[in-house]
Amino acid sequence: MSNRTISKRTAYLSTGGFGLLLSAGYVAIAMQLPFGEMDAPGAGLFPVLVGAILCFASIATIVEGWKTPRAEGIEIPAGQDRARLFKLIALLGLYFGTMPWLGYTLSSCGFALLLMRLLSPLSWLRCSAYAALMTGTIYLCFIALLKVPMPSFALFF
Amino acid sequence: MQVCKCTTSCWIARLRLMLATLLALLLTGFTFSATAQSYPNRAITFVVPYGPAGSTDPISRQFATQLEKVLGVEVNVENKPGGSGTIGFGIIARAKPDGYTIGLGTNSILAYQPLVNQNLPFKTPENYQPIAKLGEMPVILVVRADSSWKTLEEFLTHVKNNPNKIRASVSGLRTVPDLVAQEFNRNSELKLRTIPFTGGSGEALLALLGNRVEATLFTGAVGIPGQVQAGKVRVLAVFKKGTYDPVPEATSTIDAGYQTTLSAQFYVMAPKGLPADVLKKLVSASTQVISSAQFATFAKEGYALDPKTPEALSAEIVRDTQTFAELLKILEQKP
Amino acid sequence: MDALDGILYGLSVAFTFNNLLAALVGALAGTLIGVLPGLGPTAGIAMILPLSYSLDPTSGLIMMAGMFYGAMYGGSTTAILVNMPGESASVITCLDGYKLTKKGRAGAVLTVVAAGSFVGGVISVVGVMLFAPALAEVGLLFGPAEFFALTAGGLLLFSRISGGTLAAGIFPMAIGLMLSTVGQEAVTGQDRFTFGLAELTLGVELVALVVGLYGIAEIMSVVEALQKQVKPLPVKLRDMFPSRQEWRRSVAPYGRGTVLGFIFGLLPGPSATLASFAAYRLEQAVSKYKHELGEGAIEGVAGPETANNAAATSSMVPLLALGIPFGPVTALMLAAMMVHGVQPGPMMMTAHPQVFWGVIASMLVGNVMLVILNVPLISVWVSLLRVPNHIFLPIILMVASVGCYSVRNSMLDVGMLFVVALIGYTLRKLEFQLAPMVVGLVLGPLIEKHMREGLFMSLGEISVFYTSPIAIAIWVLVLVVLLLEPLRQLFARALGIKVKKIIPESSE
Repeated sequence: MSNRTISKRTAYLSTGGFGLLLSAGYVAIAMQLPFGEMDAPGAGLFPVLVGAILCFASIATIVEGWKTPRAEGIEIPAGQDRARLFKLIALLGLYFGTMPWLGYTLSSCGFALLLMRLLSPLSWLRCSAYAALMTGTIYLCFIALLKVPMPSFALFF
Repeated sequence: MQVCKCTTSCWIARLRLMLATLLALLLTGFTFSATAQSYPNRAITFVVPYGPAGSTDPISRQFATQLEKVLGVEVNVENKPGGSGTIGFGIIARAKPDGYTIGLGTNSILAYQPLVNQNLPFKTPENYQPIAKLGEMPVILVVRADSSWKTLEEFLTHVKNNPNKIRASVSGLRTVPDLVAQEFNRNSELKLRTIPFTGGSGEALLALLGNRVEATLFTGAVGIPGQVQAGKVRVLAVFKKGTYDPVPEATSTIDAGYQTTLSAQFYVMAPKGLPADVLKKLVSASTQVISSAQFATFAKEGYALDPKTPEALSAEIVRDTQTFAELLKILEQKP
Repeated sequence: MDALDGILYGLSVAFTFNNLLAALVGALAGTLIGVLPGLGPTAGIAMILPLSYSLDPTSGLIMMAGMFYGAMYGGSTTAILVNMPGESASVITCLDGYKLTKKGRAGAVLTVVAAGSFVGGVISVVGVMLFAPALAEVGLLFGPAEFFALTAGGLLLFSRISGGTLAAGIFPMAIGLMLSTVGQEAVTGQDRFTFGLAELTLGVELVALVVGLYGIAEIMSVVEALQKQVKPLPVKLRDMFPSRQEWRRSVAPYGRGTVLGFIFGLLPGPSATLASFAAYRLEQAVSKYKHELGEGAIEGVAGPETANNAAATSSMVPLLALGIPFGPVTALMLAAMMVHGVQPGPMMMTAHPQVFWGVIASMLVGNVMLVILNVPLISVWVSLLRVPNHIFLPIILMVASVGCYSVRNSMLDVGMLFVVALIGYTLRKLEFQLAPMVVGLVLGPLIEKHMREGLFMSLGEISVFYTSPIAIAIWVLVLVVLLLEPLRQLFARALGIKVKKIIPESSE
C-alpha cells in the first residue's frame, strides 16, 4: 500500500497559521464578555489569557515548522487505506447522527453491521447475525439490566 | 466456514420472516403507547436538572422512590444537568404532556433564570404545570466558633461598622444564598460582601473553616450540625420565620426584625396541558408522598415541609420572580 | 478509640457477611464500570444509589467505596489494552501502557498495575487510619492562592508531559484550555462561546474528549492500517507475568506514586486525575529510565496507577473526618449518609464509629478482593486482544457510546466524541502530543476558578497569590522541577563531569 507523504514543514506552518486565526477569533469573542473589576473579576479575563497562550503556541508551531528541513515528510494514508478510513469516518458520523432519531439499539445494530462489512470479507447475513447478537447483548447488559437511559426510537414524535 | 447447508432461497425466506417479525413488534410497540389506558400504565421519568452529586438528588430520589409505591409503576430518576438547571427543566417543559415525564424545579431555575436568560422555553408558571412542593431549604449564617461574634446582633454591628469588608462565602454568585444576602443587604441597609466558592457548598464551608472568610451563607444544613457538635462553627441565624430544626439554636432573622423572603424552593413540575385526570392523580399521589411519615423523617435533614396547592405554587413562583427582578435591578446599578 | 482499636473494630464490622458481600459487589461492579470507556465511578454510584438506600448505612457506603476504587482498577485495563481510558484518571496510563501492549507485554503490565494499585491503596488506607483527623486539617490549609499555585504550576510542568517538542506540547494544550472555557462558567453563570446553542452550555465533557482523543482516534489508526495489522500471537504464560527487571523497576515508582497520590487525595478537585499526571511527571523528572517514558517504560504505568488508587483512597478522609465532600463521588456518599441519618462531620468518628472504621477497614478488604479478582481476569483480558478486529471494534465503539452518553445523558457528548476523534487523529498524524490537551481541559477551569475566587476573596489584592507560605513553597517546587534538567546540563557543561549522571558518560 503506497503512502503519500506531505511535507512536515507545510503541515506545521499551516497549523500554526490556523492557530493564529483561531486565537484572533477567540479573543475577539472573549473581548465582548464582561471583565468585571479587580475584586470581582468577570468571565472575560481568563479567555483572553488563553487566547494569548494559543497565540504563543501557534507562533511556536510556526517556528517549529520553519526550522524543519524541507525534506522531512509525514506519512498519510493513500489508496485503499484512505478509502477505508474515510468510510469509517462516514459510518461514525452516520451512527452518531442517527442515534437521536433511530434510538440507540437500531442505530447501533446498523452501525455494527456496516462496520463489520467494511472490516471483513464476511457475508451480509453473517454480519447481520453478529450485529444483532452484539446489539442484543449490549441492550441486555446496559439498557435492560443497568437501566442506562439511552436515546430511544423517536422518529414519529 | 459454512454454518448451514441451506440454500440461498431458504436464507432469504428466513430473512423475510425475521424482518416481518421485527416490523410487527415495532408496530405493536407503537399501538401500545397510543392506547389510552388508565394512567399510569408504564414507567414515569423524573428529570432532575442537576448532576447526581448535587443537593437536589437525595430529595428527588426519595420522592421518586415513594411515588413508585403510591402509583404502582417505576419512577426512574434521570439527571440532565447544565445551564444552571435550565437544560433539564427545558426538557420537562417541552415534554409530551402525558404525565410520563415530570421532574424537579427549583425557584432558582423557575423564578431567577427567566430573568437573565431570554431564550428559555419557560418564563412564567403559565408555561408549565406545577404539581407539588417538595420542600424548602432556608439559608443559614454560620461563623467560626472561635470568632468573637456570639449573636446575630454582634455580627451585624460588626458588618455595619465595616461596610463592604466582611466576607461571607456562598456557593456561587446569584445562587440562592447570594441573593438572600443581597435581599438582606437591601432591606437592612447593610453591606455584607459575598465571595463565591463554586464546586458545591462544601468549598464555601471550607473557606470558613480555613479562616479565609468571616462567615458563610449555607443553603440548608447538611453537615452543619456535625461541625457545631465538634465545636468548629456557630450558626448565628437562619433566614426564615421560627426555628429551623437541624440547628434550633439559630436566631430567626424575621423574628429579629429583618425582612427576607427568599429560600431555596423545591417543586415537582410537569409540562403544561396534562389531561385533567392525569393531573389530579399526580397531585394527589404527590401530596400523599409529601405528607407521609417516611418523607417527614427524610425532611428532617434540613427541608422545611410546606405543602401547597398547584395554584399557591404558581403564586409563590411569581412572588419570587418579583423579588429576584428587584434585586437584579439593584445589582446591575452597582458601579 | 485510638487507631489500633479502631481498625480492629472496623475489621469486625467489615467482616460481617453483609458488608463483605457489599464490598464484593461494589468492587466487582466498579471494575466493570471502570473498564467501560466513559462510564465512570460517578455514574456507577449514582446508579446504585437507590439500591444502597435499602441497605444499612455502613453497607451502602462500603459498596460505594468499593465501586470507587474498583473503577480505578478497571479504568486502567482498557487504557492499557486498547488505548481507551476508562475514566480521566487512566489517561496517563494509555501513554506507556498501550505501547507496552503493542510490544506484547499486556499481561505483565496489567499485573504490575494490579500490584501497584494494591500497594497504593493499602498504604493509603494505613495512612488514613493513623492520621485521619490530622490529615483533614491539611485540606483546610489550601485556599484559592495555594490551589492557583498548584494548578498554574501544574500547567507549566505538565505541558511537556508526553515529550515531544515545545510546539507539539503547548499547541494542543492551548486548544485544551480553549475547549475548557466553552460553556457556562461557574462563578457568574456567564455563557461563553456557546453561539446560542443551549446544549453547549454544558461545556466539553472530559470523558468524551479523552475517549475520543485516545480511543477512537486509535481505532481510526487501526482501521487505516488494517492490512498491516499483525495478529497477536497466543501469549505464553511467561509473558503474562512481569519479568524480574520489570518488578525491580516498578518498586520505586510504587513508593513515589503512593506518597504523591495520598497527598493529592486530601485536596479538593479531581484529585485522582491530577495525582496520575503528577506521578508521571515525577517519573519523568527522577526516574533512571526516564528516556524510555512515552515509548513503553513500566515506570510510566506503575507510578500513575499507584498514585490514582492512593488518591481515591485518601479522598475519603475529608468526607469521613470533616464531613465535607471534595468531589462528585464523595458527594454522592454524603447524600447516602444523609438519607440514613448519619450526620457527617468531625464527630462522626465518635458518634458513628461503625460507619467510620467500617468504611476504612472495608477499603483494606476491598483492595485485597480486587487483587484476587483481577489477577485471574488478566488472562481473560489479554485473550480478548486476540478477538478479530471486525468483531472487537464495533463492540468497543458501541460500548464507548453508551459510556459517553451516560455521563450527562447528553447526545452532545457523543457528537463531541466524533469531532474530538477527528482532531486527535489529525494531531497524531502531525506528530503533536495528545496528553497536554487533556491537561489543558482538566486544569483550565481549575486555574480560572482559583484565580478569580482568590481575587474575590482578597477584595482585589493580587498579593494574596504570593504571600501565602504554602503557595510560595509550591511555586519554588515548580521552578525547581522546571529548571532541573536545564540546570543539570548547565552544571555538567560548566563543571565537567562532576555531576552524578545516571547513564555513565564515556568522557570519564
